[in-house]
Amino acid sequence: MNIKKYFICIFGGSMLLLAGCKKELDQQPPDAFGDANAFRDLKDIQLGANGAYSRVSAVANDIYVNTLLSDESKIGQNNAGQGALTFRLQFGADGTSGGDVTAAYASYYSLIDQVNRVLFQIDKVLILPGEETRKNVVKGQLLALRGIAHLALLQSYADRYSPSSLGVPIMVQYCVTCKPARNTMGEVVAQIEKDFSDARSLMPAATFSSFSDTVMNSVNIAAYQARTSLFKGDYNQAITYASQVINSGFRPIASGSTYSDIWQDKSGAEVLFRRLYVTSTGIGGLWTTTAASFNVYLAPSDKLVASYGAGDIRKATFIGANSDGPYVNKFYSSTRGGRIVDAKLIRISEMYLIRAEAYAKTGNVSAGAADLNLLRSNRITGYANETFASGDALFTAVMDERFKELCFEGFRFFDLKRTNLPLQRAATDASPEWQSLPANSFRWTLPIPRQETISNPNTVQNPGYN
Amino acid sequence: MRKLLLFMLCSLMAVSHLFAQGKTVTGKVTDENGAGLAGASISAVGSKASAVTNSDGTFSISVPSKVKELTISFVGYETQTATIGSQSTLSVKLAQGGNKLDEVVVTGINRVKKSQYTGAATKISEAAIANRPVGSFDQLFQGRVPGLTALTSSGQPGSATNIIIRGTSSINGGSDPLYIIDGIPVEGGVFQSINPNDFESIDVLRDASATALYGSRASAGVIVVTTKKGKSGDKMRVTYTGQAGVKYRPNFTWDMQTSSELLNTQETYGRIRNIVNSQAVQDNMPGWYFSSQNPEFQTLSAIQQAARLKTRDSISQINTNWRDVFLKKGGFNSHQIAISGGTGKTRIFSSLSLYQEEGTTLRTDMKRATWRTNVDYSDDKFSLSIQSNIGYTNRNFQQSTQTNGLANPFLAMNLSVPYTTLYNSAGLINTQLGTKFTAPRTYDLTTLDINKSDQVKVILGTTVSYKLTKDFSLGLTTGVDFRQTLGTNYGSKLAFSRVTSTSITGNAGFQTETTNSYVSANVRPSVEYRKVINQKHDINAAVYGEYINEIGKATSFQGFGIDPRTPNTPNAITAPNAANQLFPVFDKTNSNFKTKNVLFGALLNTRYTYDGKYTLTASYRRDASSKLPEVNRWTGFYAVGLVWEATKEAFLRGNTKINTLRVRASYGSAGNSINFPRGDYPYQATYGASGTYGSLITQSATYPGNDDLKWETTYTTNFGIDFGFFRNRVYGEFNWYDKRTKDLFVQKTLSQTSGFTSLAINGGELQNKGVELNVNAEVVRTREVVWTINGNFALNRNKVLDIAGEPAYEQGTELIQVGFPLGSHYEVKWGGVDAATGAPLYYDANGKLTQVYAEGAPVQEFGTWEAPWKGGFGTSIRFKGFELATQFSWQKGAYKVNNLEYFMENPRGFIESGYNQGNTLKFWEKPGDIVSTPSPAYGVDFSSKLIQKADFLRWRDLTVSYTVPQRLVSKTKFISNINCFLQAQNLAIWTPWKGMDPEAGGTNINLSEFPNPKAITGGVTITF
Repeated sequence: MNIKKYFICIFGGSMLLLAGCKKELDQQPPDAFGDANAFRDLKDIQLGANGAYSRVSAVANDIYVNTLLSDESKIGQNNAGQGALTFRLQFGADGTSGGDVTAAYASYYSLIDQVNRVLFQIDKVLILPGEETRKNVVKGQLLALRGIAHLALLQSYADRYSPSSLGVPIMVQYCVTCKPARNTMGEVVAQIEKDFSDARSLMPAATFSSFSDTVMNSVNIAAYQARTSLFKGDYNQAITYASQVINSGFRPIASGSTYSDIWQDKSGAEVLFRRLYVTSTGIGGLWTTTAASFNVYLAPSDKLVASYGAGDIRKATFIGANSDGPYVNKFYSSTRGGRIVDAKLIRISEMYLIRAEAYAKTGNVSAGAADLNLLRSNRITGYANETFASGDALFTAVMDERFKELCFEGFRFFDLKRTNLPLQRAATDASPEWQSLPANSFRWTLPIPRQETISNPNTVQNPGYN
Repeated sequence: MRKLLLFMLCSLMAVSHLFAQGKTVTGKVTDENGAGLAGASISAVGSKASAVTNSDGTFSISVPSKVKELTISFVGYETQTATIGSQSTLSVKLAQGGNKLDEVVVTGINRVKKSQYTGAATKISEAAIANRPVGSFDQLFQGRVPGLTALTSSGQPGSATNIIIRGTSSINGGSDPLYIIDGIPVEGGVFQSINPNDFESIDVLRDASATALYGSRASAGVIVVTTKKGKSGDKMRVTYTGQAGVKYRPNFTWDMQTSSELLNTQETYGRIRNIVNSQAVQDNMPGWYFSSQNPEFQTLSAIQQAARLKTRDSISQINTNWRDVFLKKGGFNSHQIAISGGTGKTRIFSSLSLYQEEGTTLRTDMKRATWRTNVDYSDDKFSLSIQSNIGYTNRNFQQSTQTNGLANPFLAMNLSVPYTTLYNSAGLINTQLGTKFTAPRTYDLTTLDINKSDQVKVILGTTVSYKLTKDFSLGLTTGVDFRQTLGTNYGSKLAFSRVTSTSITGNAGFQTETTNSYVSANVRPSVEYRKVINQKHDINAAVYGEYINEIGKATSFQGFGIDPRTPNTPNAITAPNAANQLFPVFDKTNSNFKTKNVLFGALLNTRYTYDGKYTLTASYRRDASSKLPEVNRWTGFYAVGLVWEATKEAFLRGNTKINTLRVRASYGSAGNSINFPRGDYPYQATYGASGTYGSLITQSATYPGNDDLKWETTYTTNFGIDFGFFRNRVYGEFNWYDKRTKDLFVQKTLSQTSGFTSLAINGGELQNKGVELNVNAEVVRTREVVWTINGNFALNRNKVLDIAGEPAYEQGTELIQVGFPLGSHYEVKWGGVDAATGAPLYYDANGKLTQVYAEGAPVQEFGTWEAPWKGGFGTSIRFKGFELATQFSWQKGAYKVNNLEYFMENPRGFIESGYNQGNTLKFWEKPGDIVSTPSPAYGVDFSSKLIQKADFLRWRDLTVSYTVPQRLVSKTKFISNINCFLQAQNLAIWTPWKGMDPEAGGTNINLSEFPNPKAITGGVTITF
């Protein structure tokens, strides 16, 4: 019966084997970084955070769309259709205008996805003693980027702020096959505000020496909080956050040649947060081709060129001219050559303008006028302070100033929408058919991409589109 | 001595049964050659007593004294009735034959009597496998099994065949069946190192009754190989088989133009296009350049004119048939020695074989050595079965045979102009720049370069079982399948294409070394319960556990700077440095990898048979695979089946016309883990750390992962009837099936909130529905002459039922669209040639004709590459010692793109560039011409013009053999049997296809592939 014993041994042994090998079912790809090994420690998390910063390039879509859908540009002399349909306000959800207005949707969600994937890992990785602070900083940065992305999505794809109207889906966890419904704007803004405040609570207060405009920190997050407050019409909160940024004094307002140096990355003045472009043109190629003898696809509008008064340094800084006519000089030339130039995403001058607008809306005309005058005196040589008769007058002046100061930075269309103003292009800038867009047009809310409404039936399309 | 032992054994048995009631009959059941048959059933006529023979064929049965007769039956043999006279020892010799409908179905997990098998299974017998001059046994399936598509994509010796059982069952994944050899799963598609002469039989299992037993792996069907076992007989038998023959290139349905034809074509072309003479014209179109019709001709002096005509004439005298240069007669020979036999409890089969095949084109061959040893042991409680197979294969390959590049000899031999010679006057290969020298350059490359692979394959398997009690037994099957392929590719720096290369590594010569290994291990313990109650209730239940892992690894590198004096060795690679710039290349994405997957399974398989008439089967299997995410990791599969053996019903008993009637039904599910797309880690997200942000490295997801990934699961319904009429001389099977693949992998656009745009996810449904019929008839059955005919036929309709609500999307050359079969060509519709202008016409989106290709709109109305109709038929005649067996195969309704025609009948693209054209070319010359090729003024674009019928009828197999009469053989004393045979493959093909081989090539499109050769061989088998 030796055979029997032998057999029972084999049988029993193989049963044990079966039981013992259960963990073998968790096989990880040895050839690729996967969920299990892509993120092991804080260094890997940092690589993921770098990826998130990289995806802030989504802003380029907003910059482009705000230029096309506003009165700051006109079709350039070499335009062969680039952005033309969008400029003519003939865009749809299906990408008929080349997808200009729908592209930001996927871009911002890919930023959010990156953030969520890294956040999912950040509490799982090995954190060495002494790294806890750094980990919190990175976590805060990621949360802040998520807030920025959600805010940008609201600006494009939701109506003017109303807590109960449809916003965009909130994504705080990455999910490949989810089909989320749109949250209300109130819910989305609450999430944005939470992300910003959580972010700030995780990071130490920025100091003058530690402040960097290439990463999120307590100061530039405050700047985004100010922008968010203005978006939802909470003026007191906007004043509070804008004041935090202004009072920090890290990036004071600049003037003279320093101001023009900002746009060529010769100077870091005024910029609170930027998206680096070190080797690729990125936003530098939005309006012109990048060759030495370039083609102009989109030119500054006559309306914008005419808006600058005498002594306004911004005219020469933002408007270039070659033999064919004017071109957009903002994000045009750089010390790095070509159109390789950083995107300046939030600047101190916006803070002054936010606070001035908020003061105007809350009746503190003199404080608002002071902010506006300070900005103007840095932009216009020989400027004499102006006084304003009413909050409305100040508000109009602030809007006008935003037009001049923040052109080609992704503001104009959003500003007109936010303040319920119509779009009115100059007669020389556009054919009569697309010279204006009344404030009550459905087009102020951009269409959710058709692909999204098909692949995610829970997404409700915005009115007017299908 | 043996007889004495046998006697003692019998006596012992007789003693042990002395006290039983009635009387005890002992004896031995043997086959025609006297070898003992294990497992034959003995039943007493008029009593319930029954017995089964032991491993050596002996039996012992106690019967009541009234019993006068015993019935002895065994699968594959004719049932015999033996009379018990006064003797108590019987010797029964069973004749081979019997009813195929009573064969045993080998599922690889268990063995089931056909009368209790609920599914669709077809057995390929040894006669259809043995001594075929093919390097990969799957090439033998064509036309043998109803519902099985077998297309061999290349004539390269040892090429695997693309096997599809009951239609393509996945959009993104494969449709390869699961291969099992003696219970051990083996890697599919790599069979060069396995010797099919070792096979006893192959069972092809097509429906859920079998596939559900394999759970997540077998949705595309199971092919189970049973290898030969030693038979316990009175002596060890040594068999030698030697075989040799030739392989021929197949006949093609068209020829290329000869020199004079081509020169005339060039002349017509030049005249119509009014081409002005230039150096390029002289090089590429001498037929026009030197033509008397050329306008320049009239401007020349009489002497010059005469010189031109003379030149043209001398060019036309050179006529090289490049097909003859690249194609050749191949050879084949093989030798095998097998020993088989056993005594008592132990049986051995061992074979050693050498196989050598020379391909029908240059630099192609295959050499194989295999050694298989099967050892079986069994006593009344314990049984053990060990198989070991070691195979080594060395193969030589042509370069670029599956491409449209001119290095592909099968394209070069068709495209090259016939008015060049292979060798120049100095005796060197005529390699110079210019298309005129295409073929010599390809020849030069072929003769200088080396491309080889060495493969070692080892299959080891052990099955043990132990009878714990009368009803319970324990079993364990373990096995390993190991394969390692070492590839070397030497590119000589002397080859013309390298000498003229402009890159440093390009003209340094290269050496590529690749290794690719695969190991699979499996362990399958089991507990089986079997009980027959009151001779009526036959109950069988078994529980199995299973563990399988598969590990793959590959490495590859390519180095440069090879001295031609030391070709094809890695050591010849020049060490790289900054000065020589000969840095080796590692192909990280494809040729270097490491991968592993693990599977656990548990199976419950039950059967209940009532009174031999009704059988009910049910199985349930739960599999866990490392390929799936944890939430879906454990997946259940099941099957239920029913057989009604109507033959045993009273109303059919004694019916002389209907001898067998069996009705079967089964339904069940199976998964496609072996055919799953995206490798071993399909659900997992992957991250790439190769991006940068400024000067920083970024890491982000490159594949989103799919946390909800599941198997594609097929649900098959099968109804079948087995029938046997007229004393079972006409018998066969009919099956109807409906196979639905659910949770189909389809490319789905994702919600953009996921951060990604699309992903293959589970959704959608695909249907394969069809019928299969297999009929055999013994037209003549006498003692001396047996003449049988067989035929099988199948129709499969493939249809996409749902693609998860997605709009139709393009994949390759097809459009995945609901309501259409997979593989449907999606192409711009060809509208013919405008007779008035000679312009090509295409259909646009509105169905209107247009001359502008870009305005054409693709449509999906040209059929599919997978033939819905297919089958085979054959006949065999046995007369005395002679036997002739032949088999044909056919398919109908297949359409493939003929890429070669694009080159062969495209004057604008190719005549002017200096290439040859097919002799079928007839292009538009003047208004009113009704032709299929446009005027030389227009090019030809890729359109439905190239989609052709790929139907064929192939004379697949012919065997003629003669067995030398025993009376002659026995005179030799030491030889017991001599059989001489002729064996031929692919003798002829009838096809409307206008290319080299409709079967060779990719599934949907044929480039210029190595056509399948025909083979004629002869051999002898001598048994000692």
